[in-house]
This record gives sequence, C-alpha cells and structure tokens, in this order.
Amino acid sequence: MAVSKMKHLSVIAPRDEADLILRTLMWLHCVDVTETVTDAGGDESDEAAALARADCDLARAELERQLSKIDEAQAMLAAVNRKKKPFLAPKQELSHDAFLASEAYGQAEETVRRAGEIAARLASLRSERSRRDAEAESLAPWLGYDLPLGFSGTKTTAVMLGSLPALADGASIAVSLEDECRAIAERIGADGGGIYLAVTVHASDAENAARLLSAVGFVRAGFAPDAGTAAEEMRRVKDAIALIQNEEEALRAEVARLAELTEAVEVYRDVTATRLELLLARQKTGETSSSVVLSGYVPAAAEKALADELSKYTCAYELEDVPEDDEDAPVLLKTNGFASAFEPVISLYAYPVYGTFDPSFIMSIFYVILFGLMFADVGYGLILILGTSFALAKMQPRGTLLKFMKMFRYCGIASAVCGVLFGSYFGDLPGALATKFFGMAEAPKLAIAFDLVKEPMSFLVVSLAAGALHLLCGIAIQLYITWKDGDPLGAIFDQGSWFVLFAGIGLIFVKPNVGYIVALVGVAMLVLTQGRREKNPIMKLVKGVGSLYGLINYASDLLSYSRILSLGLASAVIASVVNVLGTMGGPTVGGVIGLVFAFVVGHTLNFALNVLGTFVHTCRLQYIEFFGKFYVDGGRPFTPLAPNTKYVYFHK
Amino acid sequence: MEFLSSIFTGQTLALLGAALAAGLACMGSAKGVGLVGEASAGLLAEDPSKFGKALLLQALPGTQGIYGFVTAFMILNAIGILGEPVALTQAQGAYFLMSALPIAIVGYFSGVRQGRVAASGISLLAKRPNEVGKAIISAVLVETYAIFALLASLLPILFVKL
Repeated sequence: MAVSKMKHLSVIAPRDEADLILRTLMWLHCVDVTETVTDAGGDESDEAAALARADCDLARAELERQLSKIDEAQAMLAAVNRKKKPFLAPKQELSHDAFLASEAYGQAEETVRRAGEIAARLASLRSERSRRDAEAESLAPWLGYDLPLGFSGTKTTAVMLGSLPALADGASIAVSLEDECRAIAERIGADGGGIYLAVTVHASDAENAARLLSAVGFVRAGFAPDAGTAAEEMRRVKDAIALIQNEEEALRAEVARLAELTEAVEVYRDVTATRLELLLARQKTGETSSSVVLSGYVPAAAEKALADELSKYTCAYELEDVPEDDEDAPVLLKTNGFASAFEPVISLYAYPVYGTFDPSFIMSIFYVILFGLMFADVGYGLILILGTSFALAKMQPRGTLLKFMKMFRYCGIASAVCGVLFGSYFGDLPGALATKFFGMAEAPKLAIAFDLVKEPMSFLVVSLAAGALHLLCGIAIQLYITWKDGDPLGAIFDQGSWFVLFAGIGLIFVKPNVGYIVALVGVAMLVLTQGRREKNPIMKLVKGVGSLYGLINYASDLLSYSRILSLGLASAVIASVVNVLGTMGGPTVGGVIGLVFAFVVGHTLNFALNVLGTFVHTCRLQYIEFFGKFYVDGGRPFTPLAPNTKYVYFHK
Repeated sequence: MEFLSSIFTGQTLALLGAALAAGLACMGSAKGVGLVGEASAGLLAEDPSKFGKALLLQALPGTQGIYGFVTAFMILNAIGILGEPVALTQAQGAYFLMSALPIAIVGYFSGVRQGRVAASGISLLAKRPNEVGKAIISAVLVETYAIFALLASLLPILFVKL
C-alpha cells in the first residue's frame, strides 16, 4: 500500500509547439513539471547542443505586474459591488478554447487600466483635500482680524501675528509688552490651540518685542506675504475643497459604471494567472535553438491518457519508471473517494516520502471513529451534515476546501451515529424538555449503549479501547513495512514481541495464568532480541532490558486517548447547561421564547468551540500517537500543471 | 475553629482537590498554549503556509489541562456529586485533596515548560520546516512527567475505599 506510482516524463518538441503542448498538459491536470537539468558536463561533445534554461523573466515580470494591477482593480470594484452581489451568484462557465482566446479581454484590460488611474487620482485628491483642510483650520481663528494676513507692517511699524500657549497669561504679557517695548497686543481669539495675538510695535522695538514674545512661548503664524484677509483666504480654500469634492464624486460615479464589468475582470484575472502558470512551467524547460525539453512526473494511472494526447503532436516523449528512492518524486496519495477527503489532514502535517506507506485509508477510518467519539451528538452531527451538504451543493468549492467539506460531512455522520449510541441529542435536550416542559417524572433513556455523562468510566474504557486499537494498528503497519522491506525476522523481533507482550497483558485480565506466561514470553523476546545489533554481550543485555522502557511510552500514548473522554464530556456538559438555562422558563410562552433563544445562542457557541477543538485533537492523535509508529515524512506533494482559477469553471 | 470545620467538611475538601486539579493544570496549559500562540503569530506573519504545523505545536501543551480535568472529574464521580452524594468524613475529604495535588502542581509547571519548549519549536519550524517532528518529540518528552503525575493522582482516586 505505497503511495501512487509515478513515472518520469521527458518530452522533446519543436520550439513553436512548446506552448501548445504545455496547454494540452495543463488541461489534463496530470503532469508535475520539474526543472529540466541543463548543466552540460565539462566534457560534452560538440554534437550535443547545449541546453539552456528558457528565458521568460521579462514576460514573467510583466504578467506578475499585470496580476497585481488586476488585484487592485478588483479590490476597488468590490468596494462598490458589496451592496449588489448576492452571496451565491451563479458561476461562470467557459470552454477551454474560449478561456485562453486572447482577443476576448480587451474590455477587461481597459477597465483594469482605468481603475488603476482612478485609484491614483483619488489618492492624490485625498492628500490635496487634507492639505486644504489643514489650511482652513489654521485660518479659522483669524477670521476676526480684518487686516490682510500677509501684512507685516509699514515703514515704521512691525506687525507680528501668532499664538501663545493656551494657558499663558495673556493679560500680563500684554502689559509687559506695553511697558518694555511700547507694543500693543490685540487679542484676536482663543481656542484649544492657543491664544491668538496680533502685536503691533514700532520698528525700532521689533527685536525686543520678538525676544520677549518668544521667551513666553509665542509662535509666529507663517502666512505668505501676499495673503489676503482671513475671510478672503477662507473663501479661496473653501472653493478649492468644493472643486476637489466634485471631482471625487465624478470619479466615484465612473467606478460604479466600471463595476458592471466585474465578471469580465474576474475572468481576465483567471486568464492572466493561468498564463503565468504556463509561463512558470515554460521557464522550467530547457531549450536549444530549435527544440524544447520538458521534464516532469506523471502518475502511472494517467499514462494512457497522456500518451493519447501527446501522440497528436510532433514530439518525442518517454515515460520511465521512477526508482523507489528518488527523492524528487512527488507524492500522490490514494484517491479513492472516501480517503481522498482526508488528504488535508496529511497535508497539514507532512507528506510521506515517495515509495513509503500510504496511510490515507487506515487513517481516515480511525479519524472518523475518533472524531465521532469526541463529538458524539446527533444534533451537532446533523448540523455538520446539513451545513456541509448545503455548502457543497451551492458553493461548488474546489481543491482543499472541497475536501474539507467532504471530510466534515463524514465526521458529521460518525458523530450522529455515536450520538445515537450514547443518547446525546443536543446534549440532554429531550430529557430536559420531558421533565421541564412535559412534566414527565424522569428523562427517557435514549442511549443505546450507555449515557455518556452518567457513566463516564465506561466511556473512558471505550476511549482507551479505541486508542489501543489505533496504536496496535500503527505497530502492525510498521511490522508490515519492515516485513516487506525484506527483514521478516526484524519485524517479528521488533514489533511482534510487543504484540506478544500486549496479548499477555490483555490475557491477564481474562485468564491470569495464561496471561502471565504469554507476557513473560513477550518480555523475554524483547530482552533477548532488542540488543541484537550490539557486539558486546553486556551491551546486548543492557539494550534488551532497556527496551522495556518502551512500555512506559506505550502507556503514555494510551493515556493520551483519555482526551476523547474529556472532550466528549466537555461538549455534553456544556450542552446540558445550555438546556437547563433554556428550559428554566417552563411550558409558558416566555419559556418557549427563552428556550429558542438559549438553543440558538448556546448550542451554536458550543458547536463552534467544540468542532475546532475536536478537529485539532483528533489531528494531534493521528500525528503523534499513530504516525509516530511508522511514518517517514519529508515528501513533496504532487502539484500538477493546472489552470489557476478562482472564478471560472470549465465545461468540456 | 467551628467556622473552619463547618466550611471544610469532607465534601468540600474533596471539591477543593478537584478545583485545584482542574484549575492549576488548566492554568498551566493555558499559559503554555498561549506562549506558543504568541510565538506562532510572528512566524505566520512571515509565512502563513506553516499554519498547520504551528497549530500542532500549539496544541501540544494542552494535555495537562485535559489530565487535570479528568482527575477532577474522577474525584467528582467518586464523591457522588454527579449522582447520589456520598457522606465523607473530613479525613476522607482530605484524602481526595491530597491525591489531587500531584497533577495540580505538576500540571501547572509542566504545562508552562512544555509551552516554552513548543515555542522554541516554532523557531525551529521557521528555519527548518521539515524537522518539525524533532521539535514535537522534544515537547512531548515533557509530557511524560505529567503522565506520571496523572497516575500518581488517579491511582488513589480509582482505588479509594470509602
């Protein structure tokens, strides 16, 4: 059960067919393009034409620039569209050829260009506007002053305009100005920014006055020498602001008009992104003056379809087997319907190395079991099933989101089943309703197996049993791997001994005498075989005995599964608290309203909190307790050349 | 003394044990998980694609809280809070209080320490994403002692003779 077999693909084609072939491969979704090796050895003969890396840097920079312009334009149009677009808009469908036809996008390109221009102009208008606003603010205190603001004095007098700090003692400053400099300080106004003064002084005393004023914190107002009166200047600024506002409105109206072309821009974005993908693949090829060499990996299952397509072009191609220890080979996990939904769990952690065991199927089964046990509730399970089914039907998600939805749907089914087993329907809602609303003496017993909250010890046993099964499976997988790698004795000694020991420990509870004997056999096997790689007999014994410490590790792994009990209990207890609160009102009108309210708010919260916790902890159990037994991580996921589309769907 | 005796009956002493077990262990986990969360926010600001592995490292110090909760639950179960209350003498109540201490104390300190190891694992994840397994193993090693403490707490509770 290793990961999907890969074949290494090499294609040699004439240069002018390169793009056409890349497009065909892209629509097939089955080629992981890798860098073609282009270093020629130092002693290449002249016959082998030197292979150079395809040079696409300029084109690539251009496409990336265009893509970011499209993103900005989309952001701008989206701000306008938010009020109009329904959540579940019909999807756009195109055929392959229509999608890549380059003539169809003139209008979208124009829209993007114009949106960029408008964005730049609006930004500069905004900064102009704030400048004007600041100007108006600085003019406001001076409106009571009727001389021109730029007037700084006659031949014999000097006029200084400025402000004192708000808490300054204006009166005493005015007096000292009069006494020492024969100056007159006229108070124009005051606000939070300060006290505004116009100081008139004889030219010969100007310096003294200035020195005195700056000593008390006077700040000169910086009006230009040709400034008019405050009122005139204010009017000028207000006119400018009105002009800016008019232009802004006109531009916004234009954006609203452009927003009608949003769908065209979306398709344009998808085309540009897809062209970039094709270019990036082209950049990985090697070329000579007349031909192009492409390398990549193809799943063995897709070999025939690929061969059929490639034979339509004038090219030479070769599909060769990939050796088991090829480090560069990408990993494609088994894609049967059920297990493929759980691929995100593996991709969150790490892909296995090519050629090693593919745990998807076994992991998926245990994942649903553990998730179901942790989340056991019919009501919440139904919410998961209905929610994901609705999303799958209406939103038509793709890629990882699609897999997540399918995965949660399976988990919802498992949760519902466990809910039926343990009698949990939105917690103990039927019981609470029965006793509080319908006046029954005691809650009906709905659990088929046993009630989770009433018999937690039994549930703990169930959790640990599931955990034991999980761990044993992990060890069994390692046994299988070691056996298949050609070391059956190693498999028996390293993993088999543990199985014997565990069987013995298990039997101790049933048939003590047999159990002890079997367990002792297991211990003996471990002590005798775990040191077999050592030369020194004393070291052999030491290692053998030391290997028994592994029992502690297995025990701690097993105890880790008690989190199934805690999480299951936590969600059941919170649910029953919500039910108590909801049914407090009794079978009255107010009580029913309270019930509905508590139901919606409380159970939604409980659901949201617990679904996240259950997801994380179930993943953790897989990664650490299960994968820890056999997994070899470090693989590279299979990423085929494919269109990069967010908005467009394709029909054949 | 009368006042103290009336507050610290058998049931309340046992409840105090349960409270300490859950409270301190969960405090330790909360601090530990929070530490890793803070570290991972910095990592994710640079490279959001590492979220899955960062989340896994963040979940690791959560174990101590779970163990504390399980212990508290076992105590509540044994003293009959969740069913028929059992009459306990003060000595019996103190028995439960003592048995809750290992997981309470160790849960707190090991939760915080495991958080620190996991937070350093985040910097390992930043520089060498493929070696995250080693960071996880380092963090899980701290958990061993929480397991021992859990056993030290659970065994007296499970085998209590009331």
